[in-house]
Amino acid sequence: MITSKERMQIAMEHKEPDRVPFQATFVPEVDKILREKYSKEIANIKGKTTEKYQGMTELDILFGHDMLLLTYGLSTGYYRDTDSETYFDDWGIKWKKIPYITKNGTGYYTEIVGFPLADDSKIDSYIPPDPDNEDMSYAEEVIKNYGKSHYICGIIDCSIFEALKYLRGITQSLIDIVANKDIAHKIMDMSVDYHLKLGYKLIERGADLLWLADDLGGEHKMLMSPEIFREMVKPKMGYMINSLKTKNKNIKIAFHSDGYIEPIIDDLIEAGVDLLNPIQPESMSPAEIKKKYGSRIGMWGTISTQQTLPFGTPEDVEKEVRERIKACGPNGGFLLAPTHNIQLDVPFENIEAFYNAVNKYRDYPIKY
Amino acid sequence: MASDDIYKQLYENVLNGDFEQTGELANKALENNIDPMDAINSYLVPAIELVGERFGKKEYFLPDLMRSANAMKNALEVFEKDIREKGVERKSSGKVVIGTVKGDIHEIGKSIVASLLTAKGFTVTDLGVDVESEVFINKIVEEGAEILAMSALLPITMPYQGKVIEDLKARGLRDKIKIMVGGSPVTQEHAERIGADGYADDAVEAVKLAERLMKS
Repeated sequence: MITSKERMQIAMEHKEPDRVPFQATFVPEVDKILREKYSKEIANIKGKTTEKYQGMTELDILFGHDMLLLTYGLSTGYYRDTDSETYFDDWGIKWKKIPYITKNGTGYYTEIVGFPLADDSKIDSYIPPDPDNEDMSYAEEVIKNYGKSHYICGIIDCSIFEALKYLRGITQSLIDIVANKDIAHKIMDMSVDYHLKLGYKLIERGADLLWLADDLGGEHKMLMSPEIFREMVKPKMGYMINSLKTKNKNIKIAFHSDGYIEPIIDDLIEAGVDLLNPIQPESMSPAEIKKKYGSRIGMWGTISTQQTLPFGTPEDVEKEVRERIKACGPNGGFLLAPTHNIQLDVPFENIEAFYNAVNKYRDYPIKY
Repeated sequence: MASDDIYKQLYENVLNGDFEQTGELANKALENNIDPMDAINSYLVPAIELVGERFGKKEYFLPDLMRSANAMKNALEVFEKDIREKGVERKSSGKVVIGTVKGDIHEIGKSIVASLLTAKGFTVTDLGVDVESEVFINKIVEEGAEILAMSALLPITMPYQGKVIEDLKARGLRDKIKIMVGGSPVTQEHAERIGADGYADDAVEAVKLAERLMKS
């Protein structure tokens, strides 16, 4: 049998491996529940040694995920394992843990409540974190253990527009991008430099894929016009991707944006994106995206964490997995996954149904 | 600046989202003895309606909508203050209590809806984010609100919209108020399931929905 890494490599070349590759991630509360539930099974699996950020865990190996994620950069601000209600990250961003109650217990969502550059006067004197201070030992450990067997995805997300949002606030950033373009450029360029350096570090250590992200889509409409995206964001994205691929021509690039972004998919392909995530089915039809763009860009995601996983039945989950593999699996270029971390409101039966369905339907060639 | 030019400029500012000078322009309008009610009804409202139309056609996007709503707000604040000082009231299109439900601190969508409702003459009490059921209900009673608008941006907080409706029923208040819900993960099916009176997909649709609910 081929390794997970080979399976992903073949899929990324838009060919069919033995099976559709897949992966999933969990919010920390679900991760904890599953680790306890499967404590015996994971006892001898090498996992991460600290709980500092989200990322690869023993569960990835137990559940057979083909790709492992290493979280670096701005998005490490999410889900910090801390007892305090609020905390600051290295960027001076203030995060707050917002509790919510589900049938499976109380969870926390982390949200930004303090934006370090909300005030214009702070911008010129702001010093971003130094990428050389990032602790790369976590990436090194995972790659040492699994770099030969698994496809390694280095996360350098929240890289361009998202950084503007995190540092200025969403309302202000949407105004900046059309009305205060100098400020927008300055802050986005600063983030590009930082995340690019992190990307180089991850390439040097053996990452196969780097994951960029900027949420540009609303549920049914883009947050900004495609013209503003092309003017303000796309050139920076192209610069980042070109620099990363110059560093290592074999490196692949994934890009994440929630919501509806169909008007710019051609732009993403042109900028050098190889894999699009998460193709939220509430916003864009995965089958149509496959038909229109599937030969030119890979698809990663498509299983609804907004509706089907939390609110559907196990039968609904199985049906969705089956349909997506049938629609998006042919000719490879497909990495099946939930569209976001599996949340605490997802019934355990639905998580189980997801894995059972993946194993039932993922064999190539697809015969149903 | 002649009155006609000021009117035209107010209209253009709202349409183009040039919000920074609009409050000042409204003051200039009052200095020129422009009737604030006329300025609102004949210039600001048509401008924001055209903004809404362009948003619906995907010619305008969120940055445009936000900036136009800001321009509208800046002018309205000046004009409404003047109207109140003269002892008149701008006729209210309806009383709305709005907020993002408990457990959810997403603000922007709810705030744009609140701005646009205000722009269209609704009297809006914005309770902010992370709002408890009891806080919604007490405010509804206090204000004599006719519409409750609730936002939820996370699937995990969507069910709380239903809880507020159940609590209103328990207090015997459900039939006294129209309820509308919104937020990215919210759907028409969810609205029906929890017994809301309406769902809108975006802020512009939300205003139309509120207007429909006031007539029903």
